[in-house]
Amino acid sequence: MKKAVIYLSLFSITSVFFTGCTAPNAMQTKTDIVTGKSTVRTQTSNPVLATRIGVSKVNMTTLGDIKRASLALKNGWFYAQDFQYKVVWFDAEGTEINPEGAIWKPISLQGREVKTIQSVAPNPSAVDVLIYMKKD
Amino acid sequence: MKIKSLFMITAMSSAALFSGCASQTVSYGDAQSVETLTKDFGSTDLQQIATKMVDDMLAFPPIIDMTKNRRPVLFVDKIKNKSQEHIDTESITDTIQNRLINSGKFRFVDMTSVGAVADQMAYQQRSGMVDKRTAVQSGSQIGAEYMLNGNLSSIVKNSGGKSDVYYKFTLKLLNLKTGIVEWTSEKEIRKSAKKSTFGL
Repeated sequence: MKKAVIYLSLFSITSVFFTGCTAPNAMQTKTDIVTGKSTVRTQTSNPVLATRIGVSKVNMTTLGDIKRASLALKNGWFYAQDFQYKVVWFDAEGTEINPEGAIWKPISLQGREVKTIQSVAPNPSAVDVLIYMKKD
Repeated sequence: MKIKSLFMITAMSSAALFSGCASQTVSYGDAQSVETLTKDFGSTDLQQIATKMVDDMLAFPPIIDMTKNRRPVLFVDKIKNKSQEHIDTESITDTIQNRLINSGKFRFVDMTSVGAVADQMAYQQRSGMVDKRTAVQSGSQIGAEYMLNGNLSSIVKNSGGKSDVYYKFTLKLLNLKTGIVEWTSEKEIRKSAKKSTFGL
């Protein structure tokens, strides 16, 4: 009986754990209107991916009047990580721009690798990005 | 005899039962998700190509200067499909055109609609059925300044149970007046497939 309870508990915990593996992670930039400096805020719903992949650097540049976001994704794990990411742009009011135009892109990071992803804003009104990550 | 009849009935019942199992379930999916059904050219490849081309074009410094105070007029020429597959390259250029227009930096003339436009203008001017004060007059269209064209090629390799396909899409922006290629970019995609043993 004790063994059955232990096995059931372990199974339940494992199920909850792997359910989180299919949910996307999200990281969002917040641009200060006065200074123009961008910071990254992390929203985590996938604990496994969140512990392994992080943003080591964020850079927001302006091309004419259109913004370009460069984010360095770092694999903190020693083994290769294959996952997908999607970049969504927001205007100053927080409204998502062209929500159906953002595509999921596959990416592979080798152990401890830092790879920069870039995204150009769809139009001049876009100021901030939200990066979703998921692992199927 | 009884056993034989029993086997016959069991076999026929099983056949009827399993034929009902071969039903199809349909559901909507995310059009922006990664598709890896086969290694053939797919929706994810089209989307990746369009995104890269548009991002590169908007980020190129001479293009930024060109579009600072005005919106140049472009037209899209055919993309040559040099791959071994049947690929609708117009679909790729439609997506590119859509994103460039929505960026607010470019305008396009649609060469695929020239015939239909000519028919409509002839109808308005000569049919006698349209008020001449509202009919569109010929000779007022804006001419394109630049042309977008390119190529899509592929290299396919097979070895045993493994196969690999490499796509390369190249796009160029040509100045119609000077003949100079003002901008070019390419996107490379590699897809691999492996046949598993015993379907495992």
